[in-house]
Amino acid sequence: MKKLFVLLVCATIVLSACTGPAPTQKVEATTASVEEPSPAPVSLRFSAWGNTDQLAAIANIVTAFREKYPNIEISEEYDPYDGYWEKKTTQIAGSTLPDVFAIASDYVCDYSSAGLLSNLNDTFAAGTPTADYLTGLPQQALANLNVDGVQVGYPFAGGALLLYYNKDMLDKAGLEYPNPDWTLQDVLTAAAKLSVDTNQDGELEQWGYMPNYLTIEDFDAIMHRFGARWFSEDGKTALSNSPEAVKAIQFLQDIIWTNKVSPRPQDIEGVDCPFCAGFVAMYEDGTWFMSDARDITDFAWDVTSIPLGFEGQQAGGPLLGNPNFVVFSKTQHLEESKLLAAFMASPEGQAILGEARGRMPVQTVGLTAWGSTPPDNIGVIADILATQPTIRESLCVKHFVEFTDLQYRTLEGEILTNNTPAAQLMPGFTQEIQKILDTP
Amino acid sequence: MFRFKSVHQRTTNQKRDIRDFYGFITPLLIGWVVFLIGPLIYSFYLSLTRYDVLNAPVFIGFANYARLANDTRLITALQNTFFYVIVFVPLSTLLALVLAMLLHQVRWGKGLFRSIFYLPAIMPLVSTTLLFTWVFNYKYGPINLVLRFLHLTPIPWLSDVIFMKPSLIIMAMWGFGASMLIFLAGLQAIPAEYYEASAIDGASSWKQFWKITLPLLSPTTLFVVLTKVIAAFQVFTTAYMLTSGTGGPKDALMFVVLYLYNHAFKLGNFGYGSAIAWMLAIIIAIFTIVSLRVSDRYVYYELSSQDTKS
Repeated sequence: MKKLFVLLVCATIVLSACTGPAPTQKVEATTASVEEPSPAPVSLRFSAWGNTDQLAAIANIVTAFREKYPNIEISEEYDPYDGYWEKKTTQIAGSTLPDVFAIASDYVCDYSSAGLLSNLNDTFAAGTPTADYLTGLPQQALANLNVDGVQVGYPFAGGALLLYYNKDMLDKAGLEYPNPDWTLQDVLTAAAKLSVDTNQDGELEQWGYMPNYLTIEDFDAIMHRFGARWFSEDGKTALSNSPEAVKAIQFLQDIIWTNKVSPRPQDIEGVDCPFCAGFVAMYEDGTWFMSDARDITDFAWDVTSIPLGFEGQQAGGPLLGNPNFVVFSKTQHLEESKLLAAFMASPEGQAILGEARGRMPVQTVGLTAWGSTPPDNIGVIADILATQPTIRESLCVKHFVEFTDLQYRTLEGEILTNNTPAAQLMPGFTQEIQKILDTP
Repeated sequence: MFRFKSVHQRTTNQKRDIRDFYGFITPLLIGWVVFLIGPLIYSFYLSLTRYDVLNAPVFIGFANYARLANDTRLITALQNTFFYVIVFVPLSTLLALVLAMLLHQVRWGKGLFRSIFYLPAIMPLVSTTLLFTWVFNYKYGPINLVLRFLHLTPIPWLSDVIFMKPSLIIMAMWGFGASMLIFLAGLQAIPAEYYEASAIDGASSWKQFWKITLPLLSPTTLFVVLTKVIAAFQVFTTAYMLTSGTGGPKDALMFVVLYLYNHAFKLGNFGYGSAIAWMLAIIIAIFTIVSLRVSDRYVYYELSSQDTKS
C-alpha cells in the first residue's frame, strides 16, 4: 500500500512537469517593437600572474568587463609569477588552458608554433566589437605579438628598464643625481662613495649599485652596454664568446668582488627588495617595479634611464610587452574570449591599469594617471620609448626557456659567486647555448 | 584456520564471502588502478617518448635512458642525493634513537617532552624551511650572530656551495620526532626482565645497550632506516624552496627529484623527466631489496612462544 502511494506521488510530479501552463488570457497584439533576447550566458576562464597590486588592477578591469557584458561569467585564476609557467605546462598537458590568459613575450613563439594561440587577425576589422578596443595600441607592441603574419595576442603592459636611485643616500654623500648621460664609469665612481660599512664591523651594509639579476632584459642590457650580443639577429647563433661579452660578464663579477659596490648573494639573503629596504643606492629594474617603489615611504627616490656603457654604448630601453593577453585556440567561446582579451588592451581597461599605477599601460590614455608622480622624473620613460631601440635581441629564440634556465644557473653558480673568471667561463657557456639553439 | 576450498568445492556461503570481499575492496582497487597503476604505466610510456607538452609525444625508444648516462647535471644530482642519504639517514636515526632512549628514562614530564620533540615533525615543511632560512641568514641569523660574537668568521650557510648541503641536512634533522616516537615504542616493547637479569649478572649499562637494546630494537631500526632512506632519496621541497627551484649555485642543492621536476615542468621535457623518475624508482627498489636481504644477518626477530614449539 505504501509503495503504491509513493508511486502515485511520483507519477503526479512527473505528469505535472509534462503539461504546460493553462492559458489565462489571450495575448494581445501590440505595436511596440519586440526586444532582442539577451545573449546566452557564457562562462570563461581567465588567468594572469602578478603581485597583489598588479592582480588587483587586473581584477578591476575584469570587473569592468563583467559590468559591460553581464552574460559573460568569468572565473579568474591568479598566481604569482613563480610557478605560473609550471601551472601552464600542466594545463597544456591536460588541455585545460584557460580561455584567456596572460603570456610573457618569451613564450609567444613556442606557444604559437604549438598551435595553442588563436588567430586574432579578424579582431581588427572595422565594425567588429573588438576593433574599437584595439585602436590606439602602439604598432611596435602589436608587431611583437605577430608571428609570421598572424596576430596571436594583445599587449597589455609595456615599459622600459630604469635606474632607480635613493635620493637621500645621494644627498648624504654629497653626490649629484644620475642622469641619462651617465656611463657605467660615472655609476661606479658614485657607487664607490655610496658603499659603506655603516656599523664598522668590517662588512658593508650599504651598497652603491645593483643590476637586476632576475630579468632577461637586464642580461641583455649588460651585454649591449659592452657592444656584445647573446644571439645573432635570427636567433640561431650564440655570440656570447666575443671579447666584448667576456668584458660584460666580468663586469658583473667585478662590481661584487673587485669594486665591492654591489652586494654578494649572502649579503641580501632573505631580502626581497634590497632597494626598498634601503640597502642599495642605485638599482636597475623595469617599469614593473614601479608599483613596489611607489610603496616606499622611508626615503625619497627617483628614476632615470639605465647608464650607458663605458664608451657611451646604449643598452636599449623599451621592453617587449609583459604581460600580453592571448586566447586559447581550443576555447569553446572564441568570440567572447577575443572580446575579453581585447578589453584588457582597450582604452577603458588601460585607463584602469594606469590608475592602479603599477604596471605601465601600453595605451596613451592609461599613461596619464600612471605617469603622475612619484617619481618626479617619470617623463624620462617617454624619452626612452621614443629614442631608444628595444632591448630584446630576438623575439623568437628556440627553446628560450632552456636558454634562460642556463643563463640563471650560470649567473648563480659562476658569476655571482666569482667561481670562474669570465674569460674561462664564456667559451663553455657559449657552447651550451649553441647546443640549445641547435636542438630541433 | 579458515582456508578456501577449490572453486568446485566452495559452498554458497564461501562464494558469497568471496563476492563480498571483492565488493568491499573494489573501490580501493579502482583508486589504486586509476591513481597509481595507470599513472605508472603512462609515465613509463612517456619515458620512451620525446614529449614537450606543446606537441604530441613522439616515440623514441630508450633514447631518454641512454641520455641518462651522459647527463653531467644528472650525475651531479645523483651525487648530491647519495651524499644526502649517506649523511642524513645515519645522523637523524642516531639523533632519534638517543632522544628516544633519554625519553625512555624520564620519569616526570614524559608526555610533555614527547610533545615538544614531536612538534617539529608536524610543522609544514614549507614553514620549517622559511624559518631556517632566517636561522641560517648570513647577516641576521642567530648562528652567525653567535659566530660574530665569538669573533669568528660568519658562514654563508645558504649561498656557499660548501655549506649548503650541511645546512639542508641540519634543517631536515629537525623533523626527527616521528622516528623518535617509533624508537620509543620499540624500547617500551623490550621486556624489562632482560635488563633485570643482565643487571644481576653484572652487565654494565653499555653492555646492556649493545647486547640487549640494540638487537631487540633492530626490527624497529630497520624500519626507521628503510623509510628514511626512501624519503631521503626523494628530497625535494626544502631544496626547491631554498633555491627557488634552481638547485643553487653550481647545482649544490640539485637533487634527482628537483632535477626531474625542472626537466618536466620548467623545460617541458616530460619524456626525459619520466625516464629520470623511473631510474630513481629502480635505484630505491634495488636498495630496498638489498637492505632486506642483508637485514637477515643484523636484524633480530624475537621468537614467539608458538615458534619455539616444535
